[in-house]
Amino acid sequence: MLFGALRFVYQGWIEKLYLEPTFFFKFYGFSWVQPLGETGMYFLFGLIALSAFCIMLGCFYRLASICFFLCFTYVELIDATNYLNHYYLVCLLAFLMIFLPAHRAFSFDVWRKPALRVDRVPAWTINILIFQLSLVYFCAGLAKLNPDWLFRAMPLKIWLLERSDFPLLGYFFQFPITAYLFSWGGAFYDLTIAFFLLNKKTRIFAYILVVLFHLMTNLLFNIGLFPLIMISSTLIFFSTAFHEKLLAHIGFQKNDHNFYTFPKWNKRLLQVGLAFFVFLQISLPFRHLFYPGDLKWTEEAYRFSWRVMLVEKTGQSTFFVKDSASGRKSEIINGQYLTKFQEKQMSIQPDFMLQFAQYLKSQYQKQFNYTNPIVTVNAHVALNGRVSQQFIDPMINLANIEDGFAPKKWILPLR
Amino acid sequence: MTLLLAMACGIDEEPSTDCIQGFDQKAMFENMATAIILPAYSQLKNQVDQLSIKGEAFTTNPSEATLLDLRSNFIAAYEQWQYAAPFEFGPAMDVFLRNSLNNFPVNVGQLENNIATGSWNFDAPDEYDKGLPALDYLLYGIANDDAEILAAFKEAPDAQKHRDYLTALIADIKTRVDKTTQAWEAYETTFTANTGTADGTSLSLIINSFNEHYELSKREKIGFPSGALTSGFPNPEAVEAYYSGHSSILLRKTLEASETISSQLKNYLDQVNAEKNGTPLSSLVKTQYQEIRTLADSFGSTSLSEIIATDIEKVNSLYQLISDQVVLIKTDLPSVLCVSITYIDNPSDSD
Repeated sequence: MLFGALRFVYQGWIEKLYLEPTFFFKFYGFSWVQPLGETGMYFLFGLIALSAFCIMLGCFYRLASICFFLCFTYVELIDATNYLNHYYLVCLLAFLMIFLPAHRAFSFDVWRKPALRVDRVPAWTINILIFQLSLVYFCAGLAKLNPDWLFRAMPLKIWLLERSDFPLLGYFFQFPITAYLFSWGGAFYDLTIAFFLLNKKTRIFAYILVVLFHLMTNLLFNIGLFPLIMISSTLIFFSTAFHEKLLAHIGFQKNDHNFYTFPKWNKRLLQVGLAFFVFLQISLPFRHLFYPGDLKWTEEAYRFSWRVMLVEKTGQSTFFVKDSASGRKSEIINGQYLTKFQEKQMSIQPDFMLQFAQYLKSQYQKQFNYTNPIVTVNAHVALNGRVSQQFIDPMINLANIEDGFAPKKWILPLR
Repeated sequence: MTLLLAMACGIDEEPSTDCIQGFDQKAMFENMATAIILPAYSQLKNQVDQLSIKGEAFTTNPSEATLLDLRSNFIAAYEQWQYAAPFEFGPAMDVFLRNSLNNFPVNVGQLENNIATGSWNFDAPDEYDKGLPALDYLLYGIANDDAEILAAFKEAPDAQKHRDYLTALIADIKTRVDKTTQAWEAYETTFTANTGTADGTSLSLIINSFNEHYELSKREKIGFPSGALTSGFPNPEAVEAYYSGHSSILLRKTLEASETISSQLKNYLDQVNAEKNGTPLSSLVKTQYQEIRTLADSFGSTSLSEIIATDIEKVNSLYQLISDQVVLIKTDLPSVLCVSITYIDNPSDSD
């Protein structure tokens, strides 16, 4: 994560994603999260890097993990355009780590205060991480069980074709059969890998598969740090003995057996909290059942559900703002308000369109004295190699629609 | 696992037309290069060479005859530019050809200031003081009538400065057009061999630059002047070639160039069986261009600024027809050919 923060600085993404835009898309309920200006943003990323470094060394761990979780989550909440499942995973793991005694051995804190040293921790501290990672894989696998993925090998077919310059394997990418093999193999891997990792007999082979799989996806696709995160975090599946042997190799000796126990007074609280966390994590990926339509199309209940690599979408949306009083109407050039990346993301996500429409409403009230501006959109989206379809009801006035958790009836269904 | 393999194979037996491979992209690119792109540049180069000669004739001997001669050559060059404009990648991109030749509407204040101070920088792509629009102003708009315009280059106190600026403008155009044309000689092989669907392949370059130019034309040539983008308040002086009043004809040339490029993609679209609501996508695109052309033809040679003032509804209808085409060529066409639109770029990771 230290590397991740430095990478952001190096790539100039802080400017591009948090300083250049004048408008930011929000997660529902988090519209109060604002970017902090140039100094603020660099300071924030500095804190992320520093706290990640401290967590790594186990140095002032509790403070560092709280700081990391808050700063990282804050950054992710600034602009929903940049939402990625693996950033969400980092937020969740960071949150869990606040409560884990991950600094009680082989750490700077133990060196500083040897009394902190423990060698045995309650099983839940490890199991909650195992649960979280297994859930990611399993839900990602379930999401792949859809007709596009299985019977059209989409969108992998498109993406593999783009990588036909890939060394050795590239030649095979031009054949549809390769895309089908990758699709089915990927779905099988996601659905089963957690079980193979849990089983002691198959664990080592499963882990080799994890490494190979993520190395492959890293080389093929533009997915940033995700492979690294998964390769390192799945090590948690291995037994204590395995980790201790590994550590002994590099000179860390294990000590007498100290058991870590949580203070009694908050044990009850912890149990309730854990149960709630687990419940939330299991139910979030299935909340789409409450929404009509194909969720690859509507993207309602799409986020926070481990739906990765499922869609290749292109869209275009032309907004119109009309003054109710004079009847004057203006077509909007999205680029005057949004960065290209924001425009691209907005053109395929209905909740972003709604936010943009309301922003246009306020802009036109302020700048051009429009009364009760009516905002409509002519939006077309093409999904997974199909021709496009009208995406949003072009007659609906988006300026007067409140965002919320109710199904968005103004999204036209995929035919 | 064997079962999965078997199932995967079974599925593959159905003929699938998604992102079909085996289409001869190379042959298509070769044809595009020899039939469209190279002729567009070489004819532009001819016109610009002439422009340079006529410009020199006018500045050495400003007269009504040399002015008219220069003007008619200027119009020919401006028309020819419309056929080269959609190919803003590779050699053209290297010299910012589109921004250098056709940033409009011209910024008259800045241009007059350049003339007065005798200093300018034509390498700044976002300035509006150069190229064909600047020539349009100098040759048609610098004074009220032809006699005064001639005087501005002949006997006015700053005539020398006007002549110098005119010469510099033409020289800059010529340098960039020459460089692009020459670079294409070597680039042609790269272009035709660069097959595939990824970013940076020739298919992606063509589709992206053709779309970007189409949208830019829609916006600059009609959207701003007609008021479609400005709450219905028209800006007729923002049309292309405002001073010579040649905007309608230039617009038609642009549309024609765009239609020609799209027709080059017809076979490709037909081979992937691209259909929308039961009609081949290639026919939908063609029909739409025909409708656009029919309406645009009815404008004759009357300038867009004049039609905006007298018959705005007609301009609005044309704008609507042109806008409807964007869905077909910018969203449908790339999607079925499995090419992504990259001029709307992706700075970050994906997942």
